[in-house]
Amino acid sequence: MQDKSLMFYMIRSELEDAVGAENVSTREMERAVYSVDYFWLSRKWQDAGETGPMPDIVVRPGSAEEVSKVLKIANYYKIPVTTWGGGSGSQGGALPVAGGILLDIKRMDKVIDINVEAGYVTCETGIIFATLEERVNELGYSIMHLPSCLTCCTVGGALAHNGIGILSTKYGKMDDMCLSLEVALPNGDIINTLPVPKHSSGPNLIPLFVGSEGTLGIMTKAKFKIVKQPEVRTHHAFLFPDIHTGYQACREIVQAVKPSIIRLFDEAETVSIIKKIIGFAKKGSFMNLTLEGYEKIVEAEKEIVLSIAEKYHAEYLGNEYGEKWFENRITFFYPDHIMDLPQMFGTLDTVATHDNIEKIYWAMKHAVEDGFGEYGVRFISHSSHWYEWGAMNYSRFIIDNPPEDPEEALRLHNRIWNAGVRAALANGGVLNDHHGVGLKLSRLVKEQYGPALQVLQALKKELDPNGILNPYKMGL
Amino acid sequence: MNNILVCVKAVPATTSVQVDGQYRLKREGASLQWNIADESALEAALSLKDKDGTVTVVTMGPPKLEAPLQDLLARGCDRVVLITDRLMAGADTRATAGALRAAAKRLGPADLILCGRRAIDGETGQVPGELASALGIPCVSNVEKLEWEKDRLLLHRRLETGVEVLSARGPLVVSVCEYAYSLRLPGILSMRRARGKTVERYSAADLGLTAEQCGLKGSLTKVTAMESKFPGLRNGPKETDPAKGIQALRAMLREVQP
Amino acid sequence: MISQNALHHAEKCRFCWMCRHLCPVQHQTGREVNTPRAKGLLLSMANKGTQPFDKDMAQAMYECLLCDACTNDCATGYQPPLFIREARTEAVVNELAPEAVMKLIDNALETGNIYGVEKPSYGQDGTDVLVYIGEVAAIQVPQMAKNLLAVLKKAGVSAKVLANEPASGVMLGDLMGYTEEVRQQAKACADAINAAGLPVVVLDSYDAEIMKQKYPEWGCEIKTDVTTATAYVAKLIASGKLEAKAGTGVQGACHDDDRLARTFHEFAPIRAMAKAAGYEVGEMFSREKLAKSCGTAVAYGYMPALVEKIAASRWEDLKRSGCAAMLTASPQAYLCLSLCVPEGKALVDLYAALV
Repeated sequence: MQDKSLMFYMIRSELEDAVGAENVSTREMERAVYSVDYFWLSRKWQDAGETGPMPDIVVRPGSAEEVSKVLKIANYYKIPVTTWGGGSGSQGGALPVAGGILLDIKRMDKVIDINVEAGYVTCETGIIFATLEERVNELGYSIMHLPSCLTCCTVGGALAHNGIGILSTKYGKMDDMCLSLEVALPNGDIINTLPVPKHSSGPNLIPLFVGSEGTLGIMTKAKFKIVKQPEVRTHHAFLFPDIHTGYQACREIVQAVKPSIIRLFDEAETVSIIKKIIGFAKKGSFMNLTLEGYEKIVEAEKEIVLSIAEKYHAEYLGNEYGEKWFENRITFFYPDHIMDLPQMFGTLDTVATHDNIEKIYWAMKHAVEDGFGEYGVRFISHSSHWYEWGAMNYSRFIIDNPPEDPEEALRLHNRIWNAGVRAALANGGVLNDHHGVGLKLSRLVKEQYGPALQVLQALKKELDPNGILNPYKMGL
Repeated sequence: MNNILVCVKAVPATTSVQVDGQYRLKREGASLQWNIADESALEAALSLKDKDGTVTVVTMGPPKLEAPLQDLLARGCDRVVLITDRLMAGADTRATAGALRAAAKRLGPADLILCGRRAIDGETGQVPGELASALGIPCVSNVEKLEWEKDRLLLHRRLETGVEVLSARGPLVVSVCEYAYSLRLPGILSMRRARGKTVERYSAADLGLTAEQCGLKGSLTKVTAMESKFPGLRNGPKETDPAKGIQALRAMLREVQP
Repeated sequence: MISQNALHHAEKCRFCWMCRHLCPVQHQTGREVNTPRAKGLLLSMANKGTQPFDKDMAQAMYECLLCDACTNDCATGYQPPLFIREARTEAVVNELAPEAVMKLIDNALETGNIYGVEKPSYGQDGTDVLVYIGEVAAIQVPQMAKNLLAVLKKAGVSAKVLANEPASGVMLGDLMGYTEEVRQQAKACADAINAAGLPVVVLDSYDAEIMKQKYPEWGCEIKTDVTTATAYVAKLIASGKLEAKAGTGVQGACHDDDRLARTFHEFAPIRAMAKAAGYEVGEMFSREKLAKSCGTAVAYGYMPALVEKIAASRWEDLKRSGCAAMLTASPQAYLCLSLCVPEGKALVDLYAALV
């Protein structure tokens, strides 16, 4: 879109007509705040005094109907549309790299319906997830989606990246929690997925949009299941002799019972945690686990967990660590606690079946540590989301003194990501577990899917023939 | 017309004081604040200026003092001068007074030179006297109130036994007590007036000082050793009865102060 | 530009979204620019020279209630209001502040209050305490001022009120940051209060905050005890000097105003007052330290429509609590909440209820 041309103002007035003049802005400072999300490179860019990717125009619709109107305009003029929820994504998925329209959905923040008997809540997708959770909490219920970004992200952002919360091992991730969706398609049509998520009435439409990162449609309303707050929630901690036995024990536990939280730490990450708990350094692999629900069931589950842990020679470390961790679980994400510039860092999270997940851990660790040792890279990992069939690794790299020059830093950053992600792909893993693809991993999508990518490309071509939705993201 | 020169020192912020193995102050990386008595001197100068005159501030220290000096412009000072030079490092009070004298000479005649009465880091209280001596003008120390009486200054001087009021005519050096005056904030008008004004920088050469007159080389004193006399904390007997507590405290005081 | 300290806070906030869900302005506008992180980011950009500090940016710095919800949330202790306040100073110095704001500042500098009118006198000569009424109560919520004095009288407290009560400086401080002009107002106020030599009971918690927190820092400490009116009245109730009333059978929820909630962490007194006034005390989900702001008098002065929306959102909280009455002892909260009392709900001045 060309700035300051007659056509620019013509289109702006059309958008103003669609959503109200006060909800359209071309002011510089208003656009500038969308040039940085949680993606390390966008932060580095800003910090280095560079100008990040900015939209030409900010549009803030207040309803699905207004989203539809905006999309019709954008589709006609072939203007890129990047949807922005909370902006707290770590993959650059919301960065308006193609300019055009930035669609900020936070005015669509209504809770439409809470039905505690049927067990669901319906809301607009621009609501901050924590606000929605609070509204359900008021009635003694929870969605049980408690990610670290609960207070930062919108419902739309969590859906678009198929996010996950700390209680996922019992309650699942976004695609398990979402019952139905209302979606505005790129041509402006508003569609609904079928009223329930499980059926044999043709293919389910929800998975097309959950995790599609704003490339196939814009989710405008969502329905989630809600559950009663648990009667008890108990925390336990263990120290395994090494990561291998840890993986084995956790696999056996999730194949037997349903903990809400399992966090198994590698030996590098264990060092700092274990010292805090027992007061001295001890080698091994730390794990904390949470059971919740009805007291009687939790008691029975606890017995099973303890016996499996014993079988794998775990040392039981009591309840205190888990309780404290649960209470202060988000403290780590505040400034001065979490990694920050000038450090370079990234989370190479991936997911695989139980037979592959440990292989991936070692492959990624070698790829990062051996390939980038000269930069003083550190590699730490834990596994915090578990399934009967597999688990994920939340592996992180940290470089304390990366190149100062932003271009040089970008090159190194991408080389590390390429190496880490390819190690996962080569061993039965995927690009990412729960942060999404975004701009960060877009270039690697074709390596992951191979010829299967044509399925997604066909969908994209049919639904968004002009390619207006979130260009350059997700490899589409 | 009354031209006032205020000499200030940046000291480590009281919340971030650290010492090394030899109990020497770690200045590297410490966040700085204006010495508390110097803030008092600054406000005394600005209060006098509210009636008439100009206030020039001079300090010696690292280049990072530019921002806090700029802030003094916003508080209503007319000129701010930073003496900064690697040659000045390690200056004792005498070398400091020498540099301040040279700056005062270069800045032109001042009717009044104000200093804080002592710095909270060195605690010597020597610079005001040494500066006055170097300039060949009188010095009045420990002043807690300054006011004009026609063309003379009334100086209220805090003594151990009371307050002495002196009447004086400039030029002279006055050292001001900490907490006597509370430094004003930047005001909207003074901030507007300060726009475009910059910190003036002097090097040793600008002041006509040779390496021998500056820093460690120009100092008469040097710190040879530091040791801690901190007695350490100890747990004494616990008393809940006030009368007995007073007795115990008396006994303890007699022990340390025979 | 802003101080090194404020810039440090801004740079720490610029990439952090953790508190955004608590910002009442963000909730009502939905604008990304109305998040503490965006304001920190903008100031960082202005400092780096990638964005101009212009009228638009200045305007953004005024779209904030300074309610401290973000500060209260920060696990590390960063304070967005610190840099937002300094940015306001920058805006005023460079004549970039919105016109509506400048009008209030001119009023405050000329007449001592943002309303630009003569402050009515509540002057009376008592001997036990000095009551500081504050400009919001004096001019906008006069009945609350009268009710407080009546409550004190009922409890046998002999209250003095200054005939020409000077401004505390709190309004000007919110409008243009803590500058020398604000300190001068504070000094004049402290001098007048100190001349009275009585313990001070402060009706408006915003005034109480500046008196207790800023005056000592600015070298103009009030030499007698400074107490919030709520804490003082709760003591009168506890000591039996003020008798509890018979039950009304009405369930009410107390609104914890920004300063009681997050500066003083004072929660029990208004609940004790509510109980003594005969209310069954219920609670809103968002309460105490996490209580959502319902707007402030100064923000209402320059962005009335937005403050009305924010107050309406607080009423929504009350509706969901099931309580019939919103109970407050804050003149600023009363002013904002009175803009949009929903049908079937009541706004209660706790002093009136105790008379």
